[in-house]
Amino acid sequence: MSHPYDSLPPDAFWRTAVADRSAFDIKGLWRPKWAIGRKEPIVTTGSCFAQHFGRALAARGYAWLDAQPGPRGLDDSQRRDFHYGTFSFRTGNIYTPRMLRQWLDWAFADRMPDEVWEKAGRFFDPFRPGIEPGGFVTLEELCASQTETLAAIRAAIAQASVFVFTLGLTESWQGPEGVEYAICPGTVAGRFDPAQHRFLNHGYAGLMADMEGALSTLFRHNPGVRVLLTVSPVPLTATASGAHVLVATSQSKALLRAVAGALADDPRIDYFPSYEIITAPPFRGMFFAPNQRSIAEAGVAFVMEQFFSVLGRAPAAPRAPAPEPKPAEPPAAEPDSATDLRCEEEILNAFAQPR
Amino acid sequence: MPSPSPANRRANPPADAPLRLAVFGDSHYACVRAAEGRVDLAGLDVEYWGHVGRRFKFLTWADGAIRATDDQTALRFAKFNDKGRTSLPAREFDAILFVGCRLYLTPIFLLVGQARADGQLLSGALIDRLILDRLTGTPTWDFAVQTARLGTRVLISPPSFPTEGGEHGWEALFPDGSALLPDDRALVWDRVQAVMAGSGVTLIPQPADTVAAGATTWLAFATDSHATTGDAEHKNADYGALVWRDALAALRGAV
Repeated sequence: MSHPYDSLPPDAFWRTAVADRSAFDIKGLWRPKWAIGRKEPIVTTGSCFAQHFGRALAARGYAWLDAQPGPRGLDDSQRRDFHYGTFSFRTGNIYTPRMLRQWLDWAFADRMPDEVWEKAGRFFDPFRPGIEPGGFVTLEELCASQTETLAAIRAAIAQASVFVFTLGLTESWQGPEGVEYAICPGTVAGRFDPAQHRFLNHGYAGLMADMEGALSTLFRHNPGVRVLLTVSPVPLTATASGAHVLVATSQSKALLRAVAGALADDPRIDYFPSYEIITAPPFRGMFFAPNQRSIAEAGVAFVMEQFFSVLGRAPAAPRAPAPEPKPAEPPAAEPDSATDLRCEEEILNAFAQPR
Repeated sequence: MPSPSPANRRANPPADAPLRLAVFGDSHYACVRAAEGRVDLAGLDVEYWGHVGRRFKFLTWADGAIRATDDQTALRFAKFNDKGRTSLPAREFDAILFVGCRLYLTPIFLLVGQARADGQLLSGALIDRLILDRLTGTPTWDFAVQTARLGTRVLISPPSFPTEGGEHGWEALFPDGSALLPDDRALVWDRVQAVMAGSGVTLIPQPADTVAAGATTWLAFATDSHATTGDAEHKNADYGALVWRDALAALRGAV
């Protein structure tokens, strides 16, 4: 008697899809729900790994949307160090679903919390403390910069055909009003106060609620936008959970992966498996740098190869008419292999206890 | 008796010993040279050491001096020095005034003006970075820093803004750079002053009374060749006299 597994294709079986193949010959990991055309404006944001998508899209002539390009006349290193062109807007890394939700809420309310961190006479934005090296010279500059970024988020969402978000972390630090910081107070700037600051490791329900809240805002302001979720394969730099950092990483990534998978049941939402491409057993950790955390250039290239090899092939799903696309920027140069990613959490390394 | 400080290496200099000043520059220093007769240089022993800007790529810093990397360049610099110096040893001077010296800051002012026109925020930290990148990308800035480290006073009078009404080549990059406001200009000068002071260097900003709209210089300070060749870069002795005025004020205030 026949059973459901009789008629499954080879890629449904581990032996034929994985075990009998070279790691580099494993294909079909992603079947996009919809095609993405080169003229469709694409917004990218999220944790560290999301930076690769923006660069790769621009380098391949896709209409990656840079809604906050910064002042004219800056060179590449100035733009990079001041976080222009890293994501579609100058938020710095958005690590958690809560942070995404916060940024979208703030953008459409055109208001941010008043909290500011100070250090050595300079001012730091608690929600993106790394974007201005050394901090803002004046409080007025900081506020003006926030206003500019909120406007850029609104403009980007209004124009986007595709919104790419890379989920990165579940662990976070919150202030007294429940607002979530980009990084623990006292690390980059600010002062840690155990009576005011609370560690929160989001669970599945909380992560899902925040993603649903963020997506609800997104779809409300752009009903036609499609969402592509990814999970960063980059392990935690440090954990405050009390668990071993490797175990804490596994829990975080599992939760984020589960949330992304569940959300991708929605036809407007797709999931691209960059997490699996880097971390799955057949790849034997070969894409990690010697610290077993950073992703080597070859790993990034392999992920992007998988992404772009099928990106334009899927039939376009029916969707609301896209807004008039913004004229594409000239394709950016291929990323420099020496280019380091800008992760605020890297700063945590400076606080690691010597073993 | 205390050892002589690096800033005063002459052992027991007489109280009325002149201050040994070198004016080091590219073609921009011509206006300062031309104005020498108009200013009171009492108490100063002034020497000039310079040549056209394109020879500056053949200069380097070695053994406490600005030196030419080839004989031809050394001779060209010596030609315009009363003592026939083929190099400029920092320790033989109490102060060196860098004039022009390829230290172009005008693009930063235009960038600030362009950002204003575009409605883009240009933060103080980013302006500092622009200034520092521009300076460190210019070898003469390294000469200035090295000279200051040896205890010789360093003053920098950067190239002036282009003469008003002329083309200067930056229009393509900053088409609306002229939106620069006087407050913007003051802000940039403040930041330049702070960045330079961080390396022990004194800025002599372009005299305010020479600045026209945006980042340009009044036509009255153009050289005679402006009318015939459209030279918007070089300035006349009137301009040079004002550079002297401000440089001497800075020197005498500190001597």
